[in-house]
Amino acid sequence: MAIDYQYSNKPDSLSSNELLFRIRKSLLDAFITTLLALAVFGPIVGLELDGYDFQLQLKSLVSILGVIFTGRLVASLFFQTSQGEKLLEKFSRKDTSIRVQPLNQKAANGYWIIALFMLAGLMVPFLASKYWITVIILGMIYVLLGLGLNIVVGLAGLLDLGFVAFYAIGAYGLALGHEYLGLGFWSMLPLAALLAALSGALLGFPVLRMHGDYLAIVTLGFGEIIRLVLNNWTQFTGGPNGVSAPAPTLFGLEFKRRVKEGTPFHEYFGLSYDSAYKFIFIYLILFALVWAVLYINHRLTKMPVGRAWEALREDEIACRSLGLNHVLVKLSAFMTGAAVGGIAGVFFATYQGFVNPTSFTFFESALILAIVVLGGLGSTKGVVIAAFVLTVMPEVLRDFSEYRILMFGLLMVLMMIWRPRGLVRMTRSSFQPPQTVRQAMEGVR
Amino acid sequence: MTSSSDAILTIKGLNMQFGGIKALENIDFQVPRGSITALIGPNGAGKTTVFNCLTGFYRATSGKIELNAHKTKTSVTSVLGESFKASDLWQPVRFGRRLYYKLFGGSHQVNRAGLARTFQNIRLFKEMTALENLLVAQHMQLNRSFLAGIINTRSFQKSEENALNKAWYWLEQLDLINEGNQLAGQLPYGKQRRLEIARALCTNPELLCLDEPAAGLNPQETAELAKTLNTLRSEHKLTILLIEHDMGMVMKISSQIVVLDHGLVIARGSPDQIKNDPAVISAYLGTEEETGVPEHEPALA
Ligand SMILES: Nc1ncnc2c1ncn2[C@@H]1O[C@H](COP(=O)(O)OP(=O)(O)O)[C@@H](O)[C@H]1O
Ligand SMILES: [Mg+2]
Repeated sequence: MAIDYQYSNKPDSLSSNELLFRIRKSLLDAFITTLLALAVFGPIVGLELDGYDFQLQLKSLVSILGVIFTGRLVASLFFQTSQGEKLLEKFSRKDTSIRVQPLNQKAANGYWIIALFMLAGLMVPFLASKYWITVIILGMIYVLLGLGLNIVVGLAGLLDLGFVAFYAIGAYGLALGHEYLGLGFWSMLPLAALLAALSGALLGFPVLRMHGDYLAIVTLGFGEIIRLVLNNWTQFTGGPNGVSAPAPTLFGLEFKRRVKEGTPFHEYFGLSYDSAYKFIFIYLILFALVWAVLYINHRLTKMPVGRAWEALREDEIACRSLGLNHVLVKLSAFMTGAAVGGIAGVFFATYQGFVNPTSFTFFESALILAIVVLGGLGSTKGVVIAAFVLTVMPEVLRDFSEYRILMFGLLMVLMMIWRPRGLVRMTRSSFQPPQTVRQAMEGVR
Repeated sequence: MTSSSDAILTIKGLNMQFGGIKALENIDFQVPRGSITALIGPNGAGKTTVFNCLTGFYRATSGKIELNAHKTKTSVTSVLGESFKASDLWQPVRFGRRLYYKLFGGSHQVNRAGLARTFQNIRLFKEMTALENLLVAQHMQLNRSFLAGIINTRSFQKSEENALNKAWYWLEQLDLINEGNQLAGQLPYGKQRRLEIARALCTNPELLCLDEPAAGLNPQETAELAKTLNTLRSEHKLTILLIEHDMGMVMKISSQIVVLDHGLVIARGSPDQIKNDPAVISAYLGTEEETGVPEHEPALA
């Protein structure tokens, strides 16, 4: 930020000379910002393609630049007042580091909050419209994806740029398993998780001996390979046309209007047909599963394997010197994350009723990674919040959908400046010393 | 010299080459069980390289390193995974073992065989608490079952409780009980050094290798460290091999000293022998010193 701090401890009364200087400086700031904005927005907003020709759209460009100029000017002037400086200082504090939970302060009201969220979540499908149910289902699918990748990137510190591959394996697992083996949603759910975990192991075992950047490149390649195979193996996967995927069933009852054999769900319960039933059902299963994965995640961080993941992120050499087989530890993280990604894929396929390769591009991997980074590497709470922010927000701001990626980039830049460690601050658990040690501690003091 | 029968560590003809540079040449020495052995020498002599070879972080160019702990003899070079030989074809057992170590071998196997080490530049898990550092070190001794952990079974709880007790025990031994719930990276330097030792001890080693444990400590802390090391040896039946520059401490606590210079062992023996060894004096002080040492040292370089 181009703000001058050298006057920060001067009293409020300024000489007119200084005031003039500040205003000039602010004007200069605003001018530079506007020039930069011109470079960015000029080609995007200012030129409109018209066949092989283009037209200048000066009006919208000038209005955007005007907003930016005044915005920057006002911000510059404001940040030079004492209030502005205080605000700036509050935001630029990088002290978002890890905190150890104080011994006597246990999360007492944590259960209430969880119960409240559970209740609210259970009520949503019966109150909200079908559209909102589908939006929240998508949000929860991304929560699952975020939690899966969080294990790999956040906990174990392995940069995986091809996470979408496991998502695709889950989704296509359901669709193809139904198509060729006649397997339904419920049998494919564990099978897809297993399949994704196995492919994670297959990729991981040779690759996990590599370090940081190499791993990122290889996983990136893996993600693309899976997508290209799905796209080009037309006889098996249907190629770009995709495959249809089955909806879940409730004890064999289907959610279709008419079924070949047996009775559909609405007839069995004597209800009139509503296409929302299917989504309500998916919502409820997914809701339960998200909580289950959250619980497992919570347990994992308190288990030897979870601690080993985090230790590996901190220092691989130290881990090896302590008898941990770093390849197996990484592999377990990779496989667990992949399994969660596979489950998310199954839900995605059943929710869409149809899969094709366009849903599994690199952009998805980047989005999932952004969820993990935004949430704060390793923080479960943060991942849940970030997943909803990044998937539900674009739905709310439909009118701005053209600027989605721009906003996305902007959000990431702001995050890196103000909250480089993620939205939610990590808390480490503390342990009560045993009685004998406590006595010794008192003796010391 | 002690007889080889009760040596916990035997190094024979160890060579280590980095490209064209010979970092270690024909290193031979033994660490007697229950001793405190010091490895000393000027900077760049190759001491850390010796440590890295015998803990399996470097693959020695040639030579034998044998660890005799936990009632078994372990060859460090084979644990790291050797290349296959034609003779493996008709020796399936040896082939199987080679294959196993190729797939799952590595420096972690050395630690499991009973050797724990610390590092010259402290390597703690900085963003974890001191206690968690010690819990990670006990990984191999714990109930690692996925299912048991998620369901939080009785046996899992028991295993975690034991781990915590052991962690607190070593924290107490190294005078760190008030730091258990603090982040390792935020501890003062001296405490970080002690925590690293405590962490190494949590892996149940028989041989503890310390790389410059007193570096950066003040004289009082150094004296306490010397006392701790003596206690570890006498009460916990540990053998200690340490690299150290603080001669006062080395002379006081070690029963055997090995002197390294330019990748060669130039002397070994008791502190008294080393103190008066002309080769050692010249290596440390340079040949121009008026110590009456004849100038025959260039041959060592
Ligand atoms: N990984 C490496 N690659 C190349 N040279 C190395 C490596 N490790 C150590 N060396 C060389 O080996 C020599 C001994 O280093 P070291 O064992 O660290 O000495 P010290 O006795 O001070 O611990 C040095 O000359 C160093 O340059
Ligand atoms: Mg060294």
